[in-house]
This record gives sequence, structure tokens and C-alpha cells, in this order.
Amino acid sequence: MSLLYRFKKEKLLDGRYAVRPRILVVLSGKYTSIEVPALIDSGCDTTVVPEGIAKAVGLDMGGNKNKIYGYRESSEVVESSVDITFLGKADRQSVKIPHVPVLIALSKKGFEDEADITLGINGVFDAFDITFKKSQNRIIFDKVSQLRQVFFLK
Amino acid sequence: MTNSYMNYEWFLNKDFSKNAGEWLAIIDRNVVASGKDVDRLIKEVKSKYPNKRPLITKVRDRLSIL
Repeated sequence: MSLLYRFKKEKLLDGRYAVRPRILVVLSGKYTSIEVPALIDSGCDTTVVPEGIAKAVGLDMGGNKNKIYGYRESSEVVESSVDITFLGKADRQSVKIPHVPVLIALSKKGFEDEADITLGINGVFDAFDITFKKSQNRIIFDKVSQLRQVFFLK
Repeated sequence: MTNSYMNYEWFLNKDFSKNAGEWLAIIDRNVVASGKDVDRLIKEVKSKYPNKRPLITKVRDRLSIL
């Protein structure tokens, strides 16, 4: 089973455009479900969600605290998990991946929450083989069978 | 295209520069709420539209080159 997405052309504040592998997903927690744009990032180990969204959706905030490091910056995070639905062209084609590990990026006093939800490798790249075809403006998510996931994770 | 993607394409093609730095809640190609506190925004929208699943996205207020 495959899901097909397109790169998104986004206008930057200086008027230029960037084309990014950003897709719509549904985050579901114990309170509610929302749709959010999420950046696919093969250089990111674990999916990152801003604290404000995590709290509103109802993710568990009681996990281990840790720190993640990006380019010149670091953020305090809490380990948690979330159910992520990857939307298909029709609702029946959508694929829900439960308990995807996430890091909740804690808000810093005086700073606004980051806008980006970043889909990292753990849990997401295990569930899908992802192919980027920039020249064809296609991102293909091929669902990995559970048997294959178990075999390779061992 | 699903309604979800129609909402997202609608957002990408509209000028929301007056909302820079704010989170938006979009339902059926309408902004139904906006604000800086995303936690409060989602709770407000869910109480007003309990049967809808909103698109929540932020209007960037700084140049982001990833």
C-alpha cells in the first residue's frame, strides 16, 4: 500500500520560495485529534512536537526529560508518544501508526513555540519506506509489512 | 483531493502576513480562530466545533531556511 504526496512550495518572508517535503498528518492524543503540517526529516532521529500542541492534544508529559541539539541551538524535551495518521487521497486510504515515539519540545519563557512538527526516523521510517522524487514532485510512502518490521528490528 | 488537503492548499496560497507569528485554526477553508497560544486555541476550537478536525498551522514571523 502506497501513499503519494507532493512537495510544498512555501513563501519565505523575504519573498523567495522554498520547496519542502511537508505533508499533512493527524496527531491523536487522549483529548483530541488535529491536522498539522509536518516536515519529513531523515536527518532527525525522533519526531518532535511543540509543547503547546502536545498539551492540547493530550500527550503524556510525564516521560523522561532530555535535551536535543540542533544547529547551534538546544531544546529541553520530554519523551512521549503519539498516534499519527498519514492521510491518503481518501479517508479509507489513510494509515494510522500508533505509539510513534516523540520528543515534546518544551516552550522557553519569552520565546514562542516553534512552528514545525518534524517527522523523524524512529517509528515513522520503520513503518514506511519513503522515496523522494523531487524531479517528479512526488514523495512516496510505501507501508512496510509488520512482519518485515519485526524481522529487521531484531 | 481530500478536504484536509484543500484546507492546506488554501492556507499556502493565501496571504496571512497580518497574522505573522500566530497559530491559525482552519475548518472548511475558513480561519475559525487565531492566536499566539496554540494550547488555548485548540481547546477553544474544539469546544466550538466538537465534531470537526481542524487544521492547525502557524504563520511564520521570521525567515526560516532549514
